Amino acid sequence: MTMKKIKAIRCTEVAKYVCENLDEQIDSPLCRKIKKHLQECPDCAAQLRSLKNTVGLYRRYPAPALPADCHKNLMTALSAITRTR
Amino acid sequence: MRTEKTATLENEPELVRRAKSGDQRAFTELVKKYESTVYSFAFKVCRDEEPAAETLQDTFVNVYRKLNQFNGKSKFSTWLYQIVTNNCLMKRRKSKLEQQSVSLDSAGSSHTGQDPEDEVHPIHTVPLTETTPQDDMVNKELREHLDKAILMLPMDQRIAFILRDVEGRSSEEAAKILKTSVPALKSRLRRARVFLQKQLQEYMKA
Repeated sequence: MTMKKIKAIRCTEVAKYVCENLDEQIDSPLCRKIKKHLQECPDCAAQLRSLKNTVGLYRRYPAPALPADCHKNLMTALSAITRTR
Repeated sequence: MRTEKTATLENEPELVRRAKSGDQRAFTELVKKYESTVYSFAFKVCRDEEPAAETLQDTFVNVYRKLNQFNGKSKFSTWLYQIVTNNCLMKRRKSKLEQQSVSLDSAGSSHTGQDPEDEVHPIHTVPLTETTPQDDMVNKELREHLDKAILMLPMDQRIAFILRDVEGRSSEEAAKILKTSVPALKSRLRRARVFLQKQLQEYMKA
């Protein structure tokens, strides 16, 4: 039986890595190790889903459109400073 | 930029050059192109329409005054974001909201006394909201909670989160806007993500 020296990656290490690199396109040995861990650890996989859901909620939160008076006030303020130049 | 008008994108360096040389029409074009983007970003940072409108105005006044300092080494939008970000930070300093801000470390560790990064299990996760035709509509109560949670973040973490996760900018560009390194940006992001996740877990459990 061949014994591979694979150091098990800790959940805390996975959490830190995932939190820092969410949505990054990384293909490194560490990243592959993390992915493997995520496939085998339901708790870490759930944690990742939760993190993605949190980000998703903020991403879907719409910012209001620029109010018309806001544009008007901006143009008025800018005309005032351009006149003084 | 994700939301700016793209019609004149290829002409942007020329537009900036003309605006720098005093062409008012070119400057107005730049304002029209980016005003919605700036307002939207400022709103996401301060979660309030009035300070967002003030930040918009301050930003373009600064752009007008500092345009000659723009050397074209970075994208105009990156330079513009640096100015908006700076205005958001200055507004924050002036605001009483600063007093309401809590340290992420103390808030994140309040339950167990551990570093938030080490609090992996047990898991109380944020459930995926159901996909409906109104998927983009987040209900009022949830919005209030999202606002409250993000306003508790220190400003540098909040801006890092908005740039990277909400606006979808690359880590490299977000770091450049915040004038920091990519590892430092990622560290802020990690703290912001963990903090917001915890805040939403509490809300989902309630």
